[in-house]
Amino acid sequence: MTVEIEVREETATEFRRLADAWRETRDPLSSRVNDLVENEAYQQIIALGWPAVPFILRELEQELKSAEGPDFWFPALKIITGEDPAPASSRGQLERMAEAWINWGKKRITEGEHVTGAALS
Amino acid sequence: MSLAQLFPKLGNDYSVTSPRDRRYNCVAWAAGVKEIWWQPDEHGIFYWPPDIPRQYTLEAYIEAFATLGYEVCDNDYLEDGYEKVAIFVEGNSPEHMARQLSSGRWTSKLGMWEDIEHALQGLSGGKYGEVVKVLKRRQERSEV
Repeated sequence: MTVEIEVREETATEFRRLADAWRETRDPLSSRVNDLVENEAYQQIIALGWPAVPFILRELEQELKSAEGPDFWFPALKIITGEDPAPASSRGQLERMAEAWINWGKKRITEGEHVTGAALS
Repeated sequence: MSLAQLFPKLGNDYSVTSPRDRRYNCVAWAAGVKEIWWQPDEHGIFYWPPDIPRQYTLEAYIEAFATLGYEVCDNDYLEDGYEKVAIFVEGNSPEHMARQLSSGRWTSKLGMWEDIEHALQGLSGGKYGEVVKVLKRRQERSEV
């Protein structure tokens, strides 16, 4: 079964604003992901619901190519979708978890409307 | 904010020994692991040793390291033939772990940031709280 998501430009803009705010206001020295998840901007991203999922998956795709590795989008994805496609053997292995979510998105999500312009970066 | 501001006892007595990396955290690094984020999160998303309570308690962290052969120790001295790790606690919650190097100094992964080499007490009194427990095991592998 696939989920069709209408991707709106305003969602793209809001997601970008919140993602930037999360990275600026979180505590990077914490080893507890809970501290990152309880951040107000992160909670607002979760509140965006399913429309945020394509943007999160695109972030993960970009971060897989980065030296620092994937960011901590996994709790948000699990809370929003109620799913966790990462196999138990990959727990804590962020690159394998990111790949599992990206593959899950390709199978599960179709986007009803594409956004053009810089908002999607 | 600089590390010296976050950890007043650290001063300049530390060196950065890795690039920033989100793939592992201090608990994994204390266990000698660089590819896995160890955390007893309630969602079961991150790695935690099987059958150990997924709780942010000192007891759960001691149990997790017991699976690697560590037991509670009464000092943080360098002991020939032993590896040691230290657990920092703020309030009632473990906030950080460090691992002793063969030089007697300690190595820590700072959240999503770098690894540093430091004196154990350099990270105490700041956001990670204080060292409340040291664990040790017989040395059985080369240092990472």
